[in-house]
Amino acid sequence: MSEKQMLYQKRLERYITAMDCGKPDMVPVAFGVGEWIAKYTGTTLQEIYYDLDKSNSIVSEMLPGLDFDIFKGGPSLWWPPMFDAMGSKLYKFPGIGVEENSTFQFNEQEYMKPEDYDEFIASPTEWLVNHYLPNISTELENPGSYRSTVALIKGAAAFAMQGGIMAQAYGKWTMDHGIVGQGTGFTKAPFDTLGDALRGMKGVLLDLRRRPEKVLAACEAITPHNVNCGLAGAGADTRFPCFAPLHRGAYPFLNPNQWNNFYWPSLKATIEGLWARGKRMLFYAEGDWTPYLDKIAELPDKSIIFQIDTTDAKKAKEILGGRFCLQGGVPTTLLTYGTPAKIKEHIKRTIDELACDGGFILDAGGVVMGDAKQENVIAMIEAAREYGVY
Amino acid sequence: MADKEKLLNPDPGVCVPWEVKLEEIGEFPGNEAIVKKEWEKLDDFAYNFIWFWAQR
Amino acid sequence: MLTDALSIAIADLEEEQVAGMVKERLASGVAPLEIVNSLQMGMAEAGNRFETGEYFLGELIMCGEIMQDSMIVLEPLLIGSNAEYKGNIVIGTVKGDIHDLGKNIVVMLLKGSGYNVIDLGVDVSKEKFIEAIKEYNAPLVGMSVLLTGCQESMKETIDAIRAAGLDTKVLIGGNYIDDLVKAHVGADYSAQAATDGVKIADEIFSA
Ligand code: B12
Repeated sequence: MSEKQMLYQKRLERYITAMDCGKPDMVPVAFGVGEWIAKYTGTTLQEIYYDLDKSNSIVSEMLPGLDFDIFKGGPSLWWPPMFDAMGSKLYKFPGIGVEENSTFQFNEQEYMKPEDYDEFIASPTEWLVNHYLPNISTELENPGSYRSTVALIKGAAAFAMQGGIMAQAYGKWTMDHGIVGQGTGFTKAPFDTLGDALRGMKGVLLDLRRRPEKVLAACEAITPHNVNCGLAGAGADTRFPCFAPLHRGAYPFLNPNQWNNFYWPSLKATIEGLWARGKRMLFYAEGDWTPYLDKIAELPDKSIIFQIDTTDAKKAKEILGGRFCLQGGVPTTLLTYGTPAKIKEHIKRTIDELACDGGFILDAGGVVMGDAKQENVIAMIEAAREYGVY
Repeated sequence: MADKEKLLNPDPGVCVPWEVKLEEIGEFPGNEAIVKKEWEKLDDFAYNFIWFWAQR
Repeated sequence: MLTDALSIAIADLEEEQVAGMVKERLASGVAPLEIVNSLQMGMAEAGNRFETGEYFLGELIMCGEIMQDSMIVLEPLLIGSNAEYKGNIVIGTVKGDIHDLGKNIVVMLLKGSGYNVIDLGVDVSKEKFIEAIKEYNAPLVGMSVLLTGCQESMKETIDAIRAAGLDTKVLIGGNYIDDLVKAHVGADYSAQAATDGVKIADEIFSA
């Protein structure tokens, strides 16, 4: 076994032990290269988003010398050329729609109308193809037309190309630097699938009052698909969790009654469905989930990694600790406004409070954006090693 | 359009079920399993592409 | 405590009741502006219920929707009637950021408290802020920012307002806002809760 392979094995074991709520040799640290990298590399965000090779080579240059365990990915979440090929209305990307150094923006709309519910529920995948794709893509406005057919060919090709390029990059990072990817597969709470992309935030909240039974039926119809999306295909790697950014379940979006009846049951069913196949979820609880910790504790032991953003960390530890791995501990703003010294101090305290008996992964609370300072991000990793040995 | 296409309501991971395709092919002189396996792989790819847009 | 039945109906999110009452009142000759005032008082109450934890975002958005539906009927009738406002406030979410739920709540509360709120929407450039402040001669501008990555554009906006020689007070809000951010961007006031925004506005406009 090469040195890097051994390093990989060690980190993998650390990660897996923590996920299983155990105590590894040291606290595993998660790290991602965010948009902040642009300002240190003399590249525009547009270049980073558009040129996958460039963004991957920036990551490759960054990795040597950094000692962390779990890699959360490079600076761009999406590859805009695929969206351009389809004429996607969903986002404005740096350099096209917004300035070359602005982060992307989501264009939230009711891409699904209230009257579409029945058809969607009857056959979700077919509805997406027949109505949703044409609604969100200017190139598909006339299904069957020359432009539309070409766009689909390009879009699907881009999807495959990106998948290939990224798999290759991860393979290389594993070989060269011994890092472990955080997860495989991407899914959502069924209510968020409905509320984010299909009905939009306002649409879904109004639906809760005007057509609650449709919301429930749609969430139910989405659930098996979201289990599938999380698994990322048959025979996929179940050692690693699927990523699930959770939105409308945060306090104070839904009242307790709505949360209990509309948000939670289908999310729980999704998690249980995944867990039945041995797949965990990285429960990326954006914002504050403190009021719901008791409900979350009803999940099967170890079936999630709970991400702490602005949820009360001590309460999360108290209620979920021991049964579920916790991830987080570093407030996102600290990475911008803090100093390396402040960060070290914070991490020492966090590790004392949250990591003591294992089952903990150190990470930034939320999404780290362009404002973070590199010296702070690096101080975070260093401090984790300094104070994180069990 | 003549009569509306019948809904397939495919399962997760499926766009056009192999069973539907098989029926259309009718006679099958070769090894079905080989064809089915590759059909389903590509079908799963298409499925992931479609749902990608809904899970943004 | 609300006493007006229409205010109570909208605060309680009784969609059909509100629509019915608006029609009835119009038919019986009540001034459209008075009806709008009743509705706004109810909206402000809904905002208060949000701040005390009784209401959640879903309720507030519903309340806003009922208001909007009523305004479709009322707006055309308002032309010519002179509303009495406590003053003009310009508000928007700063450049690069499109989160607007928090800002919309603040707008709702400020309107409910009798301010003329000029809502510039989301992803608002510094030029747009300055233009609106000048046009409405607004003593107060509110800025919302959720993304830490856009706090810098908030600073740029405030710098530009100062550079333009405007002495408008700047109030900032959003979930990652604290004194550190306030000092960094050079704002006059900061608030984490929407109701604090109203308190600060009252302070400024009563001075
Ligand atoms: C809803 C949401 C979205 C929606 C926005 C829909 C919309 N129309 O607003 C969508 C899906 C579009 C979205 C997109 C993105 N989001 Co977002 N989003 C959220 C979420 C889940 C909730 C925000 C919210 O509405 N809260 C409810 C409102 C009522 O609260 P509030 O805004 O804080 O407002 C209150 C107070 O702050 C105050 N207030 C607010 N403004 C003002 C102004 C004044 C003058 C005053 C007095 C008071 C005041 O009053 C309000 C009521 O009390 C948060 C996470 C969370 N749970 O907080 C992430 C979050 C804000 N998003 C985040 C990110 C990163 C993004 C994206 C970049 C995508 C991504 N990578 O995840 C894009 C960016 C788009 C863009 N360019 O702006 C991060 C930001 C991280 C950071 N470092 O800043 C967060 C924190 C999630 C996370 N944990 O990482 N998002």
